[in-house]
Amino acid sequence: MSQALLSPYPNLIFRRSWTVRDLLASFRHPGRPTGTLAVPWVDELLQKRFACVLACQPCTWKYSDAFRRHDYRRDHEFVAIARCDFCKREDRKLWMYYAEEKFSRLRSTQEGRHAEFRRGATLATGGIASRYDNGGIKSWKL
Amino acid sequence: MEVVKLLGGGAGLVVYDYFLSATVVEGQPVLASVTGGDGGMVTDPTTTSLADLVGIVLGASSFDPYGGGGVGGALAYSTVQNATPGLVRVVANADAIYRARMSGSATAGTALTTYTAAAASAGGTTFTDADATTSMDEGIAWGILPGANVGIARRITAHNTGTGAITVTVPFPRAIAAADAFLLCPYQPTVGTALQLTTNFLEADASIVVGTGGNARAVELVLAGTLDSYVHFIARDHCFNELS
Repeated sequence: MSQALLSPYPNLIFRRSWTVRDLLASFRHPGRPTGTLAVPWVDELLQKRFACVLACQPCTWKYSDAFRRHDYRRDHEFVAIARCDFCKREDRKLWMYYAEEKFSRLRSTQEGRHAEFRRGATLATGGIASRYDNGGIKSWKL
Repeated sequence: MEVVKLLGGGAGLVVYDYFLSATVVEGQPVLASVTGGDGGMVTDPTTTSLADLVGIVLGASSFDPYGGGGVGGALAYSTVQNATPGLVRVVANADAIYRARMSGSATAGTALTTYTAAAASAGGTTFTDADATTSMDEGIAWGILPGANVGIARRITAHNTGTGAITVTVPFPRAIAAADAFLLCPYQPTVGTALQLTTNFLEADASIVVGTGGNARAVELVLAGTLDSYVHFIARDHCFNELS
């Protein structure tokens, strides 16, 4: 088959016996296109700054350096039940990586939420002086 | 807006890719797209409707058959043949607890309005600000600086919108002095049933009358200053756990 035509990196393609069905399936719902190795696909997604990228544990092990290099930040509170962006495996424990510049819009961290309750005294206008009047609890409940 | 917890206590977000019927931004909620002419599965909410909420948009999906578009991926659909249909990644847990910052107007990022007591109240049960004309009856009042009840919150049990008099049943622990400052919000954990969104759908409009907005129930409130107070809520009408 014409693997080389489907990949921008033909030299990186090792020989595989893809079937016509493989290739058609790839066009129908590709994710990572058949004929493109995972490594350039990782780079493409991360360079396009997709806000949230999902990686299974083996792919995390393989590509964690790329996530760091492209300033992607892992969510340490949640895992995703979905399909891996790189190996396409359906998994119950995918790590969620967020583009650093979009992280604050999509996620907060436990540390960040705790910090909200420690920096009150520094607010100048209309801010709250201290949450310790509430017994130091992190948030008030009825 | 974000998913901050799951009511079931787990840590697994169920993430699905859905086709779009609208142009969306990362972090906004989306509803099931039930209009007949819609070409996709999820669409924008309105500021006052969260019916058939699906979840929060995490971003474009890499499984978009057209590669997810350019920078940032495709967050819109196209009606042009052989262009992206718009495929976005949505957290679809029916028991998700969402966290939204309280905004002081329909525009996201507006500071909450500070209300000041016109006169002292030794009993700590009432204060009056003539500017408090939007009913927050059954909402929450909490003290900020300057004031003796900083960080203390109480349920509002009466609000005279004519005079701006706000009354609480359980008194604030310290006497309210003239010019003590308070913030108000129209939410109350377990009791409130509505939440109105800002016009960009990313924050909660806390300047509106109690009980106004889409189907949502507050779970927890993070009461801080004018720009860093949050409401945590669940969907009362999730598309996978329907009431209507």
